[in-house]
Amino acid sequence: MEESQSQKERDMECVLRVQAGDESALAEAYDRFTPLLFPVALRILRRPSDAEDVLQEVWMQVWKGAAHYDPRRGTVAAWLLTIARSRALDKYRSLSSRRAAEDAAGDEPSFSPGGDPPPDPSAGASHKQLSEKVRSALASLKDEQRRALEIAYFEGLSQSEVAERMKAPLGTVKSWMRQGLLKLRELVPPEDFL
Amino acid sequence: MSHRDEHLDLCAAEALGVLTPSERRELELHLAEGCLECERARREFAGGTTVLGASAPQVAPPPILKNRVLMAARAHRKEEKAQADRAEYARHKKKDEEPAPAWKLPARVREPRSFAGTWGLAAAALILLAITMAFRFSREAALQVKLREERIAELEGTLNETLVKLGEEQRWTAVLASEGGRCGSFAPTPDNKLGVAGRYVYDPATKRAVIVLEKAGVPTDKDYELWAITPQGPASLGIAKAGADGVAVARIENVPDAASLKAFAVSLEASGGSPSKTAPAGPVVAVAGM
Repeated sequence: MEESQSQKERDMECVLRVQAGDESALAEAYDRFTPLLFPVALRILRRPSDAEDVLQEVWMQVWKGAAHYDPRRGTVAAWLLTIARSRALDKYRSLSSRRAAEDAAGDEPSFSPGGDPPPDPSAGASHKQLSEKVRSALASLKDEQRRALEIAYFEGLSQSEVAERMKAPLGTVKSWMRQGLLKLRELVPPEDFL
Repeated sequence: MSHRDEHLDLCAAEALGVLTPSERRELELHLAEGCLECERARREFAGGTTVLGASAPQVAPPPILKNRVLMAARAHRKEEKAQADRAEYARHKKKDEEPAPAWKLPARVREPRSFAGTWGLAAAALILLAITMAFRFSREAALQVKLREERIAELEGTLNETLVKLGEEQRWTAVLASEGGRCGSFAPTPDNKLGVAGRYVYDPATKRAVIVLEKAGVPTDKDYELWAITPQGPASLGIAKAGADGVAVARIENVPDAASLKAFAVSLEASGGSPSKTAPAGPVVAVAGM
């Protein structure tokens, strides 16, 4: 707990240094958080070059100080994830491939034909542990809870749109999302996060 | 407005970033009443959303992306500095050109001067003028030097970017020049109504391929999609978009290895490509065997 607390303080300090124009801090933050952000952008956009463009925009937004980190709203990782997801969804919406992506929803993105995406060799042990924990937390959700959350999060659909997609009553979908989020939070508490 | 379960649904939608504008207004009104239960739920839901983000399948970003980000940051910082310097230079220049305000001029009282006194005053004025001019020129020169330095730094940034692009081009040129590379032409199928033709170069060592399609222009509601054919079936290699000249060039990474790759194929799909990444939905219009 203490270790993760001091790591959070280091992350906050790093962000402040980035916004003060410290290039080495930007490189440090990039190394630490890009392995977390890139997969989200890629999952949403499905095309590596689009995900790369989004990541560059995210880091430039942070570098220019256009986005301000407020520690009261959560961890640095959560803040960066919010920016990356939001930018990726904006790009996704502006791309004409939306229909195709919707049709293919439910499939894992596959950019290397005939195989899974290559694992990230730079991911540290803590990142891998977190990843395993997150996967197991997701696996413990009911299928419909997981699917409703994934559609909303990775496709940016509103609760009514998710209900329509899943052909389920709106109230039921809302309940799946609420319970699913609470369970994820319970299984992977914020102090475990990065 | 007292707390209801529906407010928790709104908190969950907020954490997922999928609130509609009217839902957002409703939640804001409710939160303004100071609902502690909703505030707690927002924190918990936000934690859950972060976990969702971390659940995306892990894929390593390409190493070159870090250079791109750092170079863009450097270029932005230099541009900002250059703008500030230009503004400072313009401010100083304007200040130097402004006439001295009237209230600063000493009141003149004409008195008869001696001959020596007049020359002495003239000499002093000349010296003062020379010092002022020298100071002004040296300051302008210093600002000019600073601007030049900034310009050089900007050009260095551009050069670095160009070198990165050049490196990328060389990587793909290596595919075309690869000793073990294979190349071939696409043969049209009976469904090839639009006359698309093309060639491929495939480098088994790096598993990269370059596919060039000609006469690849399609109606706006259509796209050509490229496929790798293996014993396991087709796998999409992405959309090939033609330029104004009707030529589409696709640079493809992670092509299946030479042992399993049997052919490349082109299908004509609805805009955006086939809904499935493992089977064309439209007709296959050209095929190139290995």
